[in-house]
Amino acid sequence: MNFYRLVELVIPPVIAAVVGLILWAMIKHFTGYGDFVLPGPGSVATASWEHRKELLNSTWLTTLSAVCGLGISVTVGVSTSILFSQSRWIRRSLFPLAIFLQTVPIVAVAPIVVLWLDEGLVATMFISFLVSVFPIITNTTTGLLNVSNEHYDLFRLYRASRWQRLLRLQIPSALPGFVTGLKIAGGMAVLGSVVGEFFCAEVNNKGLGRQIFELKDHSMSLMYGCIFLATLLGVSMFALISMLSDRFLLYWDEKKISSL
Amino acid sequence: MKKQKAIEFRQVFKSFGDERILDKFDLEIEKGEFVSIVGPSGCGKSTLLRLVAGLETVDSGYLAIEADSREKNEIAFVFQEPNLLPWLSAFENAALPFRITNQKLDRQKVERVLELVGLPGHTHQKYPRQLSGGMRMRVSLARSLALEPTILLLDEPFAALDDLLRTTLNLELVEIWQRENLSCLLVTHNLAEAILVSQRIIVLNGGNRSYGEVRIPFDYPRDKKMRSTPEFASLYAEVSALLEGVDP
Repeated sequence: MNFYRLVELVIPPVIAAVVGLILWAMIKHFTGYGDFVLPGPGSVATASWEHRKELLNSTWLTTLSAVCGLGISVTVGVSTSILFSQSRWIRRSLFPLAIFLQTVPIVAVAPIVVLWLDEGLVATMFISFLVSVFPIITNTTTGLLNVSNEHYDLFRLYRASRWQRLLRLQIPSALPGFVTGLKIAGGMAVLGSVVGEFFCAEVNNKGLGRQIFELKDHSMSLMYGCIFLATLLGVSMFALISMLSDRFLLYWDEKKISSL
Repeated sequence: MKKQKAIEFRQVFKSFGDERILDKFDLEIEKGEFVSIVGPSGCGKSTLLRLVAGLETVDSGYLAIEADSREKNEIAFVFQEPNLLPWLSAFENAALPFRITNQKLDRQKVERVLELVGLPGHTHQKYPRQLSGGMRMRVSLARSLALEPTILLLDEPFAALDDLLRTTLNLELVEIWQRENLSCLLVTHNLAEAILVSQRIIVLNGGNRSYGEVRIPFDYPRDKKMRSTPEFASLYAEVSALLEGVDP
């Protein structure tokens, strides 16, 4: 990546962030809200710095849960998509179940999951998986099925087996769709972990979600710090996936995947 | 001595729903012959190729292909679009038939066909998006030649290219046809292209209930200049007249 491309990538979000911080400080100043309702950027930064060890540990726990949840989503989501792409009957039978996963209110389901799997990393990982698997299934299935007729003809001409077609045509064709799903799922996985942590009161497992839940009553500044870190985590997941897709899917399409 | 047939259609009928595409269609193509099919859009030219390739089946009638060509992957198809896989390099695209058919990759053979279609070595590792339209079409042609076919089917392969490049590629195609001893069946809208490359032109009319045939008397090798001869113009007029359903 050359210098100008780097500048082009970094400068706009930095400007947006600075403008956002200025607006935040101005709102705080002109509304006159106390720190308990709306802490200023300065007090959030100070509180976060003072509790940096605690916050870093929480961020690590949330990251672990989100990454593991996302990993399970990728494994289950891709396997399900391959299964869906191979049989219309299976697709028609099981796709409603996948939609059910997407539409079920996660805040309502999370306490049940915690009840089943106990308070801890396994429960938050599972909730993270529940929330993030659907975008992977839909986007990957669409990619696997949207292979051009001309490419199918080429494989039919050489009498390719179903396995050959899947391996050499459908799976590579589906990669851009899978990455699109993964970008959405990355943010969703963080969201799922944070929601899951709301319901996990285990002392040794205080992720960002649990911190937000507990801090709302006594340190609004620190709670804002946790929200900021959770957001940063989601953005980092997105950026990392985009970077990897730019690196490895450079030749996949005329339009680069990063433009999606 | 009677020549061997590469392809034979006898009383072939093909329809899509209520639409009759081929009706009692007869055609024989000899081994090593270069035949072009011309006709208006929707007259069944591409369907004809797809039937030979095994991508469609005849409703009734008889279609015979040179012994075991389909089973031995000896039928190659060059599509209207290059249809290259964007994640594979030019070399890997040309080698794709080996991969699909689970044959051991013969790198020398792939290099040879890439050279044969005029792709210099430095382009072999480039990806489709790094190649020009003409180069992509050359890769597509190389891919079709990789398994050393005996029958080459071409569905308006150069239609999207400019006239100059199209003529160059057509003449190169003729060289490949002669060198590789292929039976070629080319579908095209372009009459000049058909006259330039083929030994025989089959003119399909609407519904193919009537069709005509014109033999091209020019010797090979052919060149661009022959397009400006009176004989060429006369043949062009003859094929055009057949195409319009008027007796020349």
